[in-house]
Amino acid sequence: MLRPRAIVVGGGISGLMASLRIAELGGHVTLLSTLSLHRSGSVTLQEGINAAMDTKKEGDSPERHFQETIRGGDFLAHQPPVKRMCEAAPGLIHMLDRIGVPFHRTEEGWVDFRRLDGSLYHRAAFAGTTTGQHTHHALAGQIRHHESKGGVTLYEGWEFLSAVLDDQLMCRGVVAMNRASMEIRAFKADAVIFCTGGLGMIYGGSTPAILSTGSAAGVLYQQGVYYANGEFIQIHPSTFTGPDKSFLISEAVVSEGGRYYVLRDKEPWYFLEEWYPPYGNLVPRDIATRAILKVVENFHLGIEGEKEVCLDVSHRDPDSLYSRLGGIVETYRKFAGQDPCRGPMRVRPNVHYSMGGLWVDSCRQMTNIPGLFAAGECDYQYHGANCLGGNALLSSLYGGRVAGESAFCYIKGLEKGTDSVDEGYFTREIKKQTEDNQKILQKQGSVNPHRLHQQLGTLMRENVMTIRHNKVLAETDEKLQEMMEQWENNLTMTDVTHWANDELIFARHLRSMLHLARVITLGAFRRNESRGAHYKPECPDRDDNYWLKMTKAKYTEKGPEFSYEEVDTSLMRPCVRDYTTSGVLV
Amino acid sequence: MKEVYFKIKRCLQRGRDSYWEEFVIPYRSEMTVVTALREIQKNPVNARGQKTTPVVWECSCLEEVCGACSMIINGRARQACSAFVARLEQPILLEPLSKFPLVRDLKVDRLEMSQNLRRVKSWIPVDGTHDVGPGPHQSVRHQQRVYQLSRCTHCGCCLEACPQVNPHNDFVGAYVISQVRWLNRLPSGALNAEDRVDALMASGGLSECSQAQNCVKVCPKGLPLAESIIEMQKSATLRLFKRSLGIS
Amino acid sequence: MSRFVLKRLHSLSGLVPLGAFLILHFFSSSYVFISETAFNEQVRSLGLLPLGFFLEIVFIFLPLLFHIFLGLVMVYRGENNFANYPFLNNWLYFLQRLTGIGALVFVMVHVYSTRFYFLTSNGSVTFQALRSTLNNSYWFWFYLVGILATTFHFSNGIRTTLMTWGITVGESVQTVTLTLSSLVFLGTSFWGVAILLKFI
Repeated sequence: MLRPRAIVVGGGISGLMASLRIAELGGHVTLLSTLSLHRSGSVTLQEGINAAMDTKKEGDSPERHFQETIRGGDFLAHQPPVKRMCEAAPGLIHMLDRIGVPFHRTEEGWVDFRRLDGSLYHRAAFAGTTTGQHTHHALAGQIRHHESKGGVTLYEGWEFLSAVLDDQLMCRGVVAMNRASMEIRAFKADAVIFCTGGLGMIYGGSTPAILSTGSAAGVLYQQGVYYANGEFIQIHPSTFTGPDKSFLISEAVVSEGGRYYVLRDKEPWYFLEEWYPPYGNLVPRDIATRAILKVVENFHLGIEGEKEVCLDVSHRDPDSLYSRLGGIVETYRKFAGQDPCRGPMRVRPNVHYSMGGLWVDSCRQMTNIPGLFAAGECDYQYHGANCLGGNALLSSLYGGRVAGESAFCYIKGLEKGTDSVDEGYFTREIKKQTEDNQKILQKQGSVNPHRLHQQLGTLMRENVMTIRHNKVLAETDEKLQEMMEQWENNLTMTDVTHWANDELIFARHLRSMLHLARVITLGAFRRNESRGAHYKPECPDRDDNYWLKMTKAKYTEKGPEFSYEEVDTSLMRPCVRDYTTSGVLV
Repeated sequence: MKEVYFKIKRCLQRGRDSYWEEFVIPYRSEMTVVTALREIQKNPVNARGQKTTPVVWECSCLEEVCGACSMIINGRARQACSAFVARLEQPILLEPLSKFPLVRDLKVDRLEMSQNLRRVKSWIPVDGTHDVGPGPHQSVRHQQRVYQLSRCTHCGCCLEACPQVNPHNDFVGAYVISQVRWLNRLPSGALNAEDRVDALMASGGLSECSQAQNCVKVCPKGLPLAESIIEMQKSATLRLFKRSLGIS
Repeated sequence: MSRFVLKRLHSLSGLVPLGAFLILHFFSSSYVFISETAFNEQVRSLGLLPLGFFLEIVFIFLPLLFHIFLGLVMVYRGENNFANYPFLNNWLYFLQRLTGIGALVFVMVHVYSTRFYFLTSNGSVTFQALRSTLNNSYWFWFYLVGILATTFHFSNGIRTTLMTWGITVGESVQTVTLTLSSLVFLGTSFWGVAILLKFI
């Protein structure tokens, strides 16, 4: 048989990891990346990568890691894949260490670990607060190596438009467009892996990179891939709002001694430490976020009446802060204009991560369309209802690796390769996308796509954030449908050129965002319980009898059609998720 | 300040003529150049009130770690996301980087940057990504140095500011040399250090640096680029002696 | 030979033998501080050196031509941008090229007028002949600028050579060599100009 050929869409950490595995196994990878590799959103990941190596003899183990992850995710993740991920983690850290990630060291010279949210153990290996950047750079180096050996062909600056499916609904390749020349062409492969990241831009100015629009996932959803657990959007407790986006202040700060407080009767009140003594400031993000909201909204204790609280690390030695939190210190100095070494940082919760994503099976990372795989933030597999710090990077690495390996095996087992597929599928898809572009370019209504996006962001931030009410969600869905109508009939394109037309690309992204926004909103509307990041005051408790199941959204012309899938809880029985000892529940 | 004046050098397509277009943007506190460009996207109207196309530029993370939004702002190469308007002289001049092929408006094609990294074998050849146990020990001090070097965002500012990077010269630029220093300093990378030094001794490499040291002044991440270049010159000197004495 | 080796040899040739010769040349010209006759005597004795012509070709003219040729290539292969990047090292980069060209013109004229001219006319340069030339103010200014350009190019060249060969890696060492090369510049300029003034 010919050399197995796969396509990886997305040049972030999981995309690189998947490509590496396929190239290593002897396959050939066409790696499509919308920008140059180094611009990937993965570089903004800060705090670390979890791996239970127990180098500090605290009694940590992959089993503990697994338990904390499942509990952190409020039992809404299939347990076997999470278990496998936790077991694979130490090996991944070793690999990264060898390929040049400059992990912080202990005095003896071993990789150092920090404690992150939702955990009682020092488990996250880290490189300052720019772990994602270093991991990505080291992996990109490996990709260059394979590129020079012919195992990888890199297409930087190519925008994914759609997957090519044959009449048996098997994925046979993709259609993509060059972002400069606007040339549309088909790329053939026997398997395609999507590692296209999150969808933070649906919420406007959130912490992810500006291209985290969920666009590829949205396209695939419209092509028939199930989208799962969309309603679980992580709101990170500590971010600060900059001019153009919201900046993450990760748990790294807390692990270096940072403490949340507000002033009560002119005295600092360390509310998290009081409410959650064993975890203190390191409770899982959903809990910390709700605690902050309670303090600023119910107790009206936000700084200067704003919805902000203090996160203070200034009592620590500035030199050690700079060495261990360099990236955050620098960013806060530059973009907030203040020095975290001298006074408290002002933080507020904001959108950070999407636990939901493309539905994939639990052993192969393959979606419901054969030959179409997903990994990284764009899949839904490893975090359940809430993602723990340090697990996002881990799941990207691990998911990418699994996807790469299983795609390779899948190709080996295929009876008919993509070359024997009728050429018509490809030409038809190219034609369809070209016509789609033409149609968009002809739109001369009155709404600018960027303005429509701004409205979308505001709507979602106001209505589908931390606290969700059914009435509001229903209204939001109606507004979303109006916006879709606006997109369809009243959009205006100010740029109708056929060269590097970013507005056209953005309009396409916006369409995907609107579809996914509906999946998120309706998923939240239907889930009448509170679990992890999804919180409804109307039904404030977790309902394992009815809702211990995954949401699966399927695209139809009329809107998402929902079905539910039981959660595999074969390894750990769901129990009460309690991070307190005193019984104070938020 | 109520309004901000911008003069943007525009070009609809590679090969076509460039022209300057002026924009007046309402001022917002803490506004950056990116904020202004995004305002233009929402309302692409120039200072004379004429409708125009939105300005095309590249950006991704907006927090100065991805290196995408490099452009020339008031004559100097820097990241647009951290260029606060209040600290810039007006009219604010925006131009695309001049040392790379232009794509459109402020967007350039920096693909040659990754090609240059391939030229110097900028990777650690490992047997595979499978687990073969931990990597080598490193002291805290050593890790700190390596960490600093590994922060390069490939933004291209060091190339733009370097007088030795121009059409008559094939200099790979400071970031490549710094990348080699980073890899050579890693215990696992040191095994192949000589290969990379050899690559830097080929044409377009170390021989083209003439110590103008603009690179170190414009690097948004404050990398010790000049020091990196000279340290690699040292490695290359030693390598030269060794090679001429037949010890290699 | 690779460009890498050529570049190394270029910077080295600026120090040895050219820089060294510059110092020797200043030294032998310093006989003018003793007396006119001492100067003339020194010039004559240099002309009597065994293998003098051979030494001149091998240790001065060939390295000089090599240095000039590569230097011109380097000037061509650089694009000055001190207007937008007015940093000290960038100015020095520009001045090194500017003074290189200045020194080139000066040395050409100087060599022609004091060496070839007299060689063809079967004579040897004397204090009196030089004095009559330098009393022309154009020639005087030409010499003054030429000497300063040469000493700058030489002193700054010491600093850059140390970097090119990878000797002064750290920033603090570079500050030290910058100070030292400034002192060398001051010293050699003072020395050169003092010699020049002696002819007025």
